[in-house]
Amino acid sequence: MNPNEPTREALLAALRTIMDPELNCNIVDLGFVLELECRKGIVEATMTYSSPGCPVQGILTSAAQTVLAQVPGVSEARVNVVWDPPWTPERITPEARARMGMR
Amino acid sequence: MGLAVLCLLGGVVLLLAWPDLLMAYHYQPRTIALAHLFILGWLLTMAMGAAYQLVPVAMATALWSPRLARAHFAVHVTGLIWILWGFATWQLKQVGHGGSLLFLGALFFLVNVDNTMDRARRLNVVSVSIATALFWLLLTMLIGLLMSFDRLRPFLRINPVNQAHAHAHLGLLGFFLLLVTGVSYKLLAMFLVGPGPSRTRPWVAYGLLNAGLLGTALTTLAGGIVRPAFALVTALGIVGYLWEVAAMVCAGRRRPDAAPIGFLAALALLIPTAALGGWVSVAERSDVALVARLENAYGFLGLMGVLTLATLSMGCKIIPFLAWFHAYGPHLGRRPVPAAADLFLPGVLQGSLLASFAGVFLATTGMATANFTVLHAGLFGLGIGVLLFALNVANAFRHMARPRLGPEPVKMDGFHHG
Repeated sequence: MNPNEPTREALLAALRTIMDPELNCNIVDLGFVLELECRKGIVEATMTYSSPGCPVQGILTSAAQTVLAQVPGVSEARVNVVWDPPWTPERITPEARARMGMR
Repeated sequence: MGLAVLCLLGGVVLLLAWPDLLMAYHYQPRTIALAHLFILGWLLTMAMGAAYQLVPVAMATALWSPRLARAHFAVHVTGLIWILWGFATWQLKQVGHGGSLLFLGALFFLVNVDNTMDRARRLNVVSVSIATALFWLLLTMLIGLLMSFDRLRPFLRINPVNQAHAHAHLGLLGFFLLLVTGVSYKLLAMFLVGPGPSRTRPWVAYGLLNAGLLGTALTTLAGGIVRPAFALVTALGIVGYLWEVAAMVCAGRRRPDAAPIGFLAALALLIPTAALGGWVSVAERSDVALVARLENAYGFLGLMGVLTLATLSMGCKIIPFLAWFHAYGPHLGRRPVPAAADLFLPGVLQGSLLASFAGVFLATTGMATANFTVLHAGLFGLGIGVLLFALNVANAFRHMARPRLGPEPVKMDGFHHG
């Protein structure tokens, strides 16, 4: 592995700084990040949101691209939004569910 | 939306100054002017303002024509002032002029929102409810214009009070209630992190509401003994809708916080409102004073109870979100930003909802029991609630004017520190 390549943990840590404004939880713990790959400094993230009509998907996608591009070792960040498989609340981590008081 | 809140504040101040209006027969100039201040100045302005903001956000696109929206605002404000002055001074020709401007503004709004949604049109109970609500809005406004023309040159041959009742029901049930039901299916799923509406029940409720509304309006105009039957159909539609809402709440994974709780409580007021409406539709007119008071209580509970409290409650979610979207959305991921909920002070939010609900309950009770002390207490409580809501709105607007951003991250040794 190239020592200059960012680690998956570093990429996820960057994405964890992005909070959904309504749920007040980061997008990783919400289960919005489906896949994360890095090859030769190019990061490709596959994401989804709670529904196609989610009003903040544009902002969250742009923010994800910004924070990924700022991680040392990343030369380019791409974010793809998909709707299949559809997001469900089960994708939220147990810790995040407990923090949000969810059933 | 700022204009809407100002109209709400102004209306409540006038209610505090003229509480006797709520005890007297409602078909008189000041009462009608005040009702239209709340309906057109507060509720309609709020609904249109929210739609201009939320529809582009939900469609992930820009508003089709910001210039048309600005033209609409100018026409709307002018029409609003004109119509209110016309009602207050009972100059129905001026009511017609003001109403014509408002109708023109509504057409601007319809064209703009329709073109904005064009790119992502989906046929579901949410979009159909909203489209139907807009149809009832235009019909209500047209009928209003016909009514004012009829008072100048009589041609309708329908009792003016019946015209007013039909016009009110078409507007409040047809536009506002249908809009609330349609939008609520979307918002509840979002805020409660749950599934969307079910397949059948929302459509049944939609059908019953529209059939009941149409029948109620026609039988109100024409008179007749079947009006209670249509009132019952409308009530069944309301029951169907509330059943669906209850199912969505149970299926939601997130416990509702103050704003959704307030919204649900406002929806629950549909039950006593429908009961009062049903009673009024069959009541004997022998006790004129009692019927007048209960008619006022019915109108007040529907307008200030269901619609205003539902709008206030959802406003406590929508307004901070929209303010956050504009103030902080572009900075997300670049600098630390507050959460959307931080734009409304939580204690003030809870206080505004509690005071407003208590106020509406007391005022309605005071009207129904002819108790001026209880009525005054209720109006005072409602005033406090609305004032607190306005303070929170001002706080959210302050964030838009001067966003409170955290420091830019500092680059050290190849790592970012926020």
